[in-house]
Amino acid sequence: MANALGDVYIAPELILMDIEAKTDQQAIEILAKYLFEKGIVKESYIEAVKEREKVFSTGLNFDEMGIAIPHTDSVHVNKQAIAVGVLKKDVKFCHMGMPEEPVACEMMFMMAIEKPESQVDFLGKMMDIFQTEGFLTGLKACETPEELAEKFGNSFKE
Amino acid sequence: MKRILLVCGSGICTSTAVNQKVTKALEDRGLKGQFQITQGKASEVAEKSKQYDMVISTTVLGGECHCPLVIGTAFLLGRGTEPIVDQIVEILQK
Repeated sequence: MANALGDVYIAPELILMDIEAKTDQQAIEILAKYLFEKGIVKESYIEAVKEREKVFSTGLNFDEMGIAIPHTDSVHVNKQAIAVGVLKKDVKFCHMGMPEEPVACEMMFMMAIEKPESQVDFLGKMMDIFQTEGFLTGLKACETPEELAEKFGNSFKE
Repeated sequence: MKRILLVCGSGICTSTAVNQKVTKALEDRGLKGQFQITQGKASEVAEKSKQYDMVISTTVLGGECHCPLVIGTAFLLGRGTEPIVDQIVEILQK
């Protein structure tokens, strides 16, 4: 079975539900700190990903839901992974490429990418998955990190 | 051979995803083998864009771009891409 995920780690321990944040910077900090506690990223990742979001915003307004994909340089990464943060109330991010356009984001997909050249399949596939009708809504409706991680991970298999 | 510089903030994530989408879209338009995509950082555009036929960016550019520029965020969202592909094809065929 082909799996576009490659060695990118998705697991219940990297899913954070019910994040309470007022701003994009707060939301990013909560999830980035959590990734650091799990050993996925170096401590420097936390500030780096926050700073990068200010310059290169990562909100994406999909038809179904606004999401954000905060990420930063690979030097801050220990292990390739993607963390999911579900926001209790939507948080305003700026749109990627169009920072003047606000996006009400309901979920964050925080990427820790170490070897981008090997991730072409993964990143392209993830965008296809996000575009699939019902996917983002279904993911957000998951009640446990286990359920969410399984649903997300399985979506990369074809 | 037309040279395309594809940039995002760090030159690793988003530009990689868009690279795959743009390559497929252009090949579907019969341009296979007629273009070459190089990924880079938005901050490199001011310096490097002179050496390219066009720049596709998924983010805001810090400096000046010395060749035609197209914003490629639509490739991530998967909607509204056709007019952008038209634009890219037109630039490449000049």
